[in-house]
Amino acid sequence: MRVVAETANGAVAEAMRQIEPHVVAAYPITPQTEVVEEFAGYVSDGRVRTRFVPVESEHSAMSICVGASAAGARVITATSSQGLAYMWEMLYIASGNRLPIVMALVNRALSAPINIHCDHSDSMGARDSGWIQIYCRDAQEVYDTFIQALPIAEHEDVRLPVMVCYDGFIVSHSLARIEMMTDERVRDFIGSYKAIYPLLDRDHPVIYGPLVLYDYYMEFKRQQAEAMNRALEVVFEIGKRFGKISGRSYGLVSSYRMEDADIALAALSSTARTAEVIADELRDQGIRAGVISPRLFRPFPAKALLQALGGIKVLGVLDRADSIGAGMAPLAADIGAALQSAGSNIRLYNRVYGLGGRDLTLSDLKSFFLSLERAGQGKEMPAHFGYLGVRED
Amino acid sequence: MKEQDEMCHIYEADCRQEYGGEKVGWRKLPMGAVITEPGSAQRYTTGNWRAERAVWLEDKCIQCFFCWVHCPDNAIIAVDGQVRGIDYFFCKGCGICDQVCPVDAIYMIPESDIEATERTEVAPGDSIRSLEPDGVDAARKEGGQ
Repeated sequence: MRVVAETANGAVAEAMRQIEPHVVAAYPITPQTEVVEEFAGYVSDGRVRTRFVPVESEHSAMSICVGASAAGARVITATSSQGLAYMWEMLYIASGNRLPIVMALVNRALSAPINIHCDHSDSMGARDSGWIQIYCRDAQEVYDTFIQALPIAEHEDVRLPVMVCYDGFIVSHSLARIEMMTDERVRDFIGSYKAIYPLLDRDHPVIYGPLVLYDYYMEFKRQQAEAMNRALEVVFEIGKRFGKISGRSYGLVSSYRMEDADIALAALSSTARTAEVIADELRDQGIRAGVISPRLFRPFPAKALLQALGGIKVLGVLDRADSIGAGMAPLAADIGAALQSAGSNIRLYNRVYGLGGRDLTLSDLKSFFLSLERAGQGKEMPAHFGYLGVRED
Repeated sequence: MKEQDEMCHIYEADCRQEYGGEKVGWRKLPMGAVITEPGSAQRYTTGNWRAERAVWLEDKCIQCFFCWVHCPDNAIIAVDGQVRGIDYFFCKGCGICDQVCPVDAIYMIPESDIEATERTEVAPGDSIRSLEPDGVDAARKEGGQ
């Protein structure tokens, strides 16, 4: 084990060096750039034998990933924002063909207006694309999760692409203390990759991407949905197995001081860490506050989430992406559906925050937390949906 | 992974035969719609998509092979370097052969103008195959090269 001071982007590039995939096809885009830049350095310095394809666009990047993965290669890419948007149609080709490609997705707002800072509108737009999505709270989680992403994607019960999402700049560019494993340990953990239907196996020729109409299309989508459901268990198992070699175990939902909580906030990625600060502060004032953070977002870990919520009365859900016109943002909509299906009485309040990198201040968070507390006591009826930290005048 | 033997390989014509005429459910289909048997399209009829049929006139044909080159479905039967007819198992009735033929040796007629009895005889495409099964296979082989 090494302890290093590194950014999450640097940690991903280092993990990629340790993984040494067969093919990397990527195009640089802020705030993902360092991942590609540093890894391209490893390639040109001969430190990895990876075939690096410097493409002219993200659509081509994902197309090459699809082709290389179908050929039988272990494939990694990375992007952000418009880059992910440009990959859109190929995302579905990757998941529909059941190709276990791994992507670092450094979350950034979508244009227009153009903006390079963090929000989750890029990955949330791709939440129905059939990719597994895991959100990381800090740089250590990014490094650890990126390594876990390969055995998750390549698990024979799953065989689906995985997006490892982390907050642009906030996590991608902040220097953090990261514990890194030795190359041998990483390679032992991920194992060697064996493609199921490699196009380059000339003794067993196969055809990818045939026309499948109304008589069979739905069966293939059903099959894909089943693989996604199976990923719940696989992500859990691999998170535990990772704990055995690193001392850092991972589940499906991270929770903080939830054991006896009355109120809680739910948030993805780095915001969960910020919310923990306020939960501590409220606990000092006698308010039993907790924080939950779904690590896995696709497939949605409804059961683990309900367990983590325990006996709380009021839940505030923070979304870093709006679903314009829906009346509830993506994370809240999924949590709401899980609560409804389970017949839960937990009251849910949703706030959209932090779009385009807008800071979520501790005081904004605290006042939202306190309004949840008053709602729990029946002293206040907050709006079910709204925005935090926006000028309303 | 499911045992390969349990799985349907081309999920159309073959599946129906293997599973007693029933289409199979998602558990029996290969992962990601991958086709594990090369050349299985040879058994997939596209002739029943046809609204119009191309008819070939042997007397007018000058053996220029324009139709053979342009046909998108390898439906022009050629044996021993000679155009011998149209494979209605594959012919989708697109009419490209009619357009490119320099001597009007191919013309299109609506399927609805064909007597039901005659249609049963030639469609869904088995008539020429049954007339010259070996010749057609040889022609396909040649066409594929």
